[in-house]
Amino acid sequence: MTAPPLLEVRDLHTYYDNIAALRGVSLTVSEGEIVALIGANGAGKSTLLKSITGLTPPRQGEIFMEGRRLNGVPAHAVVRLGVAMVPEGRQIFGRLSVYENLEMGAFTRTDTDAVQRSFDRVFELFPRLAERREQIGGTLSGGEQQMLAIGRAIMAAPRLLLLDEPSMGLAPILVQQIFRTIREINREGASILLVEQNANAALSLANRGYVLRVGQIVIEDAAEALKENKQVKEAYLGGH
Amino acid sequence: MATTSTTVGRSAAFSKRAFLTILGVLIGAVLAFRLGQTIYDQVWGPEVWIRNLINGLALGAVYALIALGYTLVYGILFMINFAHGEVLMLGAMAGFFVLDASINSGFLDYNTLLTIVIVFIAGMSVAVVVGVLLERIAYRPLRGAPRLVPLISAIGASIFLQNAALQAFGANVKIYPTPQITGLSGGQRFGDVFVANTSIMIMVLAIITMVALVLLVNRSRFGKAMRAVAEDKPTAQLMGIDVNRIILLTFALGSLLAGMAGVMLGFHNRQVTHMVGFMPGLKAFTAAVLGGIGNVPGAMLGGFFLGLAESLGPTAFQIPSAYKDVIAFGLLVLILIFRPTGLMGERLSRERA
Amino acid sequence: MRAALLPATRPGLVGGGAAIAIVVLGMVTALNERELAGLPVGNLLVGLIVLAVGYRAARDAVGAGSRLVAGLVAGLTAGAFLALFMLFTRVPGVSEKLVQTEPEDTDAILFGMGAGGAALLAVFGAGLGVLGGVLASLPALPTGWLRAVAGSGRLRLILVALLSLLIVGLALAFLFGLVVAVVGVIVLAGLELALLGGALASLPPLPARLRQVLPKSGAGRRRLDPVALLTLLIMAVVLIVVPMAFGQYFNHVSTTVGIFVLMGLGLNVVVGYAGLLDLGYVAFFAIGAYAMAILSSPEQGIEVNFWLALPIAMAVSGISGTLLGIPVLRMRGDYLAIVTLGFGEIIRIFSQNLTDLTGGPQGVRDIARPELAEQEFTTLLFANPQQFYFYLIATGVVLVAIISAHLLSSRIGRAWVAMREDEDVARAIGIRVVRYKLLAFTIGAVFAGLGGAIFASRQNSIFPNDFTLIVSINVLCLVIIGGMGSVRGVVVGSVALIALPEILRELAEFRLVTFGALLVFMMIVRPQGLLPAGRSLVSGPASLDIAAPPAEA
Repeated sequence: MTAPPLLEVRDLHTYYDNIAALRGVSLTVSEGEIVALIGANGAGKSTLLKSITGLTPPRQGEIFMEGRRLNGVPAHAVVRLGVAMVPEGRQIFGRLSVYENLEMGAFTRTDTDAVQRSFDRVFELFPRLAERREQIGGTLSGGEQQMLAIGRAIMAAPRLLLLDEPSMGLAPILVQQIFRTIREINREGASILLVEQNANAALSLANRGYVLRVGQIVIEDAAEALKENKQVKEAYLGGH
Repeated sequence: MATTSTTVGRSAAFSKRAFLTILGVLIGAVLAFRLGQTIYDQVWGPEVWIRNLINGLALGAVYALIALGYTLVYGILFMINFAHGEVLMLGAMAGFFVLDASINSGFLDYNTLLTIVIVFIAGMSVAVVVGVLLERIAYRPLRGAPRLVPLISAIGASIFLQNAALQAFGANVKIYPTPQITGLSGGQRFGDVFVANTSIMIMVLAIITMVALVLLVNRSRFGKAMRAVAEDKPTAQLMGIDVNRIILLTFALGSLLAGMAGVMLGFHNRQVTHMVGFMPGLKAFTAAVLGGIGNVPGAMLGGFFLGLAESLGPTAFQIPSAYKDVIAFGLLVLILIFRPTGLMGERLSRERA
Repeated sequence: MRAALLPATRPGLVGGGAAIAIVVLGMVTALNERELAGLPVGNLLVGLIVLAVGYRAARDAVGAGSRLVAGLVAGLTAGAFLALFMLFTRVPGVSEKLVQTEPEDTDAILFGMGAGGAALLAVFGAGLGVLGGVLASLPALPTGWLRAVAGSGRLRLILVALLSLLIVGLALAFLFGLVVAVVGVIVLAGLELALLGGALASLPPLPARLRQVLPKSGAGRRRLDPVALLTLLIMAVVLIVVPMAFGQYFNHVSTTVGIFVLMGLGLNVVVGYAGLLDLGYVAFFAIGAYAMAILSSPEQGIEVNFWLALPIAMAVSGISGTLLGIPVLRMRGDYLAIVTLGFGEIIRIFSQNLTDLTGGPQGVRDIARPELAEQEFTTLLFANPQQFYFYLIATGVVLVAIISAHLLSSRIGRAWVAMREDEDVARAIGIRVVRYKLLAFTIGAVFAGLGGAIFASRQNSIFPNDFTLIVSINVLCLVIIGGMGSVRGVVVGSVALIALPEILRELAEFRLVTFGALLVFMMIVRPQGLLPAGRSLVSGPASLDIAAPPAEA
């Protein structure tokens, strides 16, 4: 018998009031994988990430992280189980400095030496942040904010990193840089669940992919295969 | 100058600004004239000015401590903790009972300093317990409700606590026996100016506390978490911050300051009733708004500003001191006309106010 | 089963705390003077709390066995908590500080046996807790028949009202005797009818000419409902007959309620319709009252007739509303709240210190009563002046209710609602926000001025202490408790907040404590108010929501 996958989501239903956002989603992320989740606006991609982290608890279905059930675990405790998230629209703390933002990322960690190593690593990955460590978050440019949001998630030393639209609103050259960094983080041991509208870029990076449509998974395949999938091509890859 | 006009035409915006400028100059001129008159006529000797200055600073220090509680809670929950004054009152009451017991048992005679410390600790602990219970019972169930709902709940809690204290401890005035306490009775004479020892104690203690608070908010793990929660609760949760815990601790911190202020007022005014929280609470809230509510340095500035205005205003403009509250609130109206989000307020009224 | 133990201590602690609170507040002592079925009511109340605690704890547990255990644990915790506190009060010096807890009474709670009594109390609590657990384990009562009988809509409303009248009446009679019960039932009946009247006020039963003057009703022409018309008639008859049938006290209470309804309707325009939080609303009430007083009292030498002073007072109040509005309406939310609060205090301080004009703390005396044709109207037709005020205020309330219901469904009302929901959007679609805010402030001030003027006349003399912050708070609370933005809600809120405490004078000293606790409780259980504005009144969401962020987890 093989070890359970790192993350397993089984038949998840999530509602906003009485409107169903997720209607029976199941997916897995295995150790070391990059999994892309693509879909149109309003398909439920962000809701899925929020359900996993406990921000919008599901009404039905189960979530397991390394075999541990996440249902009912409050959002602030999910981080301790090795799940970090880069939320949509970055959501950095605009009134905290860059350094303080990163500190918040490591809020649950107590091993100061290890935290210091994470600081070093983040500043190595994003030298820009090192230059601006005392600057107030709200005054950073969009690209820098995204770096900070990713850096902040790295500070949690996650086993699983959830990224919600990291490319949104960024210049192509920055997108490339961000995606390169994501690959690097993955090489260092974190598995990644990547939500993207930029399906082309996401599938180039990922091992496997899921297509979400109106709250349901409609296609699941290896990333390469998805890229060739006719439906996917028409609906999500467009002119790219 | 924050201009709130989005679609108002340029000329309208200009005329509004011109109007405000003229209004400001006029008010300034009247006040300056009155002040000049007071000084020129030498209505008061310098000792009056200095005495009122020091009184104003001491009063302002108390206001600032209380205002910090309002501002911390407002910063994190965007709600007016209307019952904050009652937390102060219960702290002052607790301090009184401990002081009373220590006098009756003769403990005070041997351990003056220790008694004072214990009285403060008692007042602060009771205030913290009340503040925490308040949050758990009256506010937490209302998270996410429309803004007026927690406000009404806070008003209800305030009425409850005030009248519960009246019922439980009676309407009689409880006398803080300050004159019996060596070190706190009497005062120091600096030339012509006499300064009460309690004023000195208030100022020293308040300033130490405020420095510590600023350090706590800016440097500590808790302080940073508090600021993160104030800014964005869901994201703070993603960082692993237990938002409910931070909110509870924020209430505890604000209540601690209120308890300290309550005991200070008790020593200084030498009396406590179930009503003592009301006016200082209202004034301190005014101070918090003056400084820009949600803003920690703003609350301190607002507190001192208000204390000084109340104490020096009647002197400077030769107004009967019965109108000192009018000065306080009039000042508030004036400042908010010119700076609608307070002296140090950020321009976040759009999203939050 | 063990899992049920720890959570059950929590309701136990809460209940124990509540029991301690009512002991410390003196409620137990006071209530023990009455007996219910041979048992002292105060002790009964403590027992009831422990029972409820057991019930609550048991409800959360699963399985009959753990229910009983949970009840036991909760009751034991509550009893032990109370017992420990009672022992604490026996420490020398403690009970002197707690003025309401007489040593004899606390001894009685410990069965007069000291520490042994404390243990007994804890055991007793455990027993009650188990009883609560048993109650929680009983199958739910079938309530389907009630629902079937009650039907829907108005009929159910009436039925529920009658039922509650019966229950409240019986309970009051049992506790406080017949007289109070009758008054309580009458006022509650009045509430019910006023409520239906308020519903009718939102229909347009206006003469055609008046309809042209008033803003056009957005609801369009509706047919008059015959049932509604009938109830309106009955209400009118009751309103005319009731004050004749009952004495001065009843009329005093009901006119006070009426004055608060007037103020509530005014504040409802400001807070409920336009979404402007005004915490200094008493200022306009005071201005109306002082205008009436200064104009009509011989002390100032003007001595104007009541009927002339009334519109002037309303105008003065309205103008001051506009004047206050001009500088402060740029502020938003909480800033507006505190500035208006300050304004209220300023007015009070002025009334206290401008001795030449207001008489200072001595107030103004000999304020005019309404007269008709040189005759003392009151002596001509009515047994006592309060009766006349009843009719005057009832007329005022009906008019103001109709006006404010029509305002809401007019263009103005829609502009207010738009502004309340999102000021920036309202401005962007061309609503002149400042103008509408000023209008709301002015109208609110006029209504309050009317209330104040009548109040001054009814009181005959007024003092600065009639106009403290607590009045503003009371009015705000009654608007919110009744249901923001709803005309009927204001009436219900006024009865709930003003009449009930007035009638429950037996519990006078506990009035405010209970009131405060009820406010908190109400916000937790039913924040939208007793009778929130239905969809028929407001097109948007029923509750006022000044840019509240969505709930976070």
